[in-house]
Amino acid sequence: MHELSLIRELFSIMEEEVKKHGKEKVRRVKLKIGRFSGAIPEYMKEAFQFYSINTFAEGAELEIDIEEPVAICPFCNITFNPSDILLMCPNCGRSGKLEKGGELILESLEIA
Amino acid sequence: MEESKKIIVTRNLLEANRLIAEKIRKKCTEEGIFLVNIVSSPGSGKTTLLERIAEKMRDENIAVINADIETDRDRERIEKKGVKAIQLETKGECHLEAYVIEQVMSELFGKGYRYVFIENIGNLICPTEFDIGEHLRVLLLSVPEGDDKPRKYPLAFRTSHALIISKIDLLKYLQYDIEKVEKEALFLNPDLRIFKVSSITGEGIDEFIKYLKDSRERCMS
Repeated sequence: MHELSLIRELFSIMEEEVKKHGKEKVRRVKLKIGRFSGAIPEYMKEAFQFYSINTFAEGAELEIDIEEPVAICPFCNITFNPSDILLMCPNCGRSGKLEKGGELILESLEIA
Repeated sequence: MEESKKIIVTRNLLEANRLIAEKIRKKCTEEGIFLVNIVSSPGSGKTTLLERIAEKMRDENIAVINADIETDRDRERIEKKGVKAIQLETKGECHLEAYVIEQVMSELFGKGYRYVFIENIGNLICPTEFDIGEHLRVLLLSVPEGDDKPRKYPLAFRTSHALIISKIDLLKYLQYDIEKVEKEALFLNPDLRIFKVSSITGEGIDEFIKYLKDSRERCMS
């Protein structure tokens, strides 16, 4: 449900970047989204399309790279690939901390 | 067609929200306002808890911000207790963001408030993603919601400082494994402070208020 807010933030960053580079349009957008970021890529795409109507980014292509999760166990000091968001350490069974996989990042733009 | 140019940006989508949240937190600390964000699902007893807090803390210069998608019923309930309350109607937004709190806090700065409680939108998912400048995030989980919630909504437990298990007066009527809830909540967040509260019988309220006062003290010193 909060994807639309994220897209609104994306648009204000894009607007800044487009102006900064003296351009007018966005042709292509590349996002990096962590699998455990709480944002659902399909909803992000739908929200992007909806939000872009009659804007400088109308018709732009949105590419989303999914960042796979990596967690660290603060007790065992090992990193592991968690299977779900409980981040259970395979060694001690306690909950780890997410190192990667929580990202919501605008990586690059193609502007014209 | 005009030639396009690729630029590397690498900016976090929540960066603007985080910056505003930091600004709010700093300003509140300077003003001596301890900002508390209360999150929970709908119907877990946020407003009733705030009514009890309002009764016990009305001499402490407190204010309440009630956020709902529609209606100003919650504001009326808090004002009846003689406490300043502001209603935010989000008209469909499922969570609060820092810029909204920044606007509403401008009405509360400079008036000597010591505590401001924000009753977030009832939702265990979206509000947990947004820092709104609070010093303390309190998660409310009521007994009738069931004892399986920590594992279903891990982020809510990970991002909170305190957990209130509310409506404990209903424990005698329901099959609810409170120890399991505590264990699973602490699995997700070993630093979580847990309180068992009934806003009807008043059990646990004083203990939670003491925690609020101690937390404010620590934050302001």
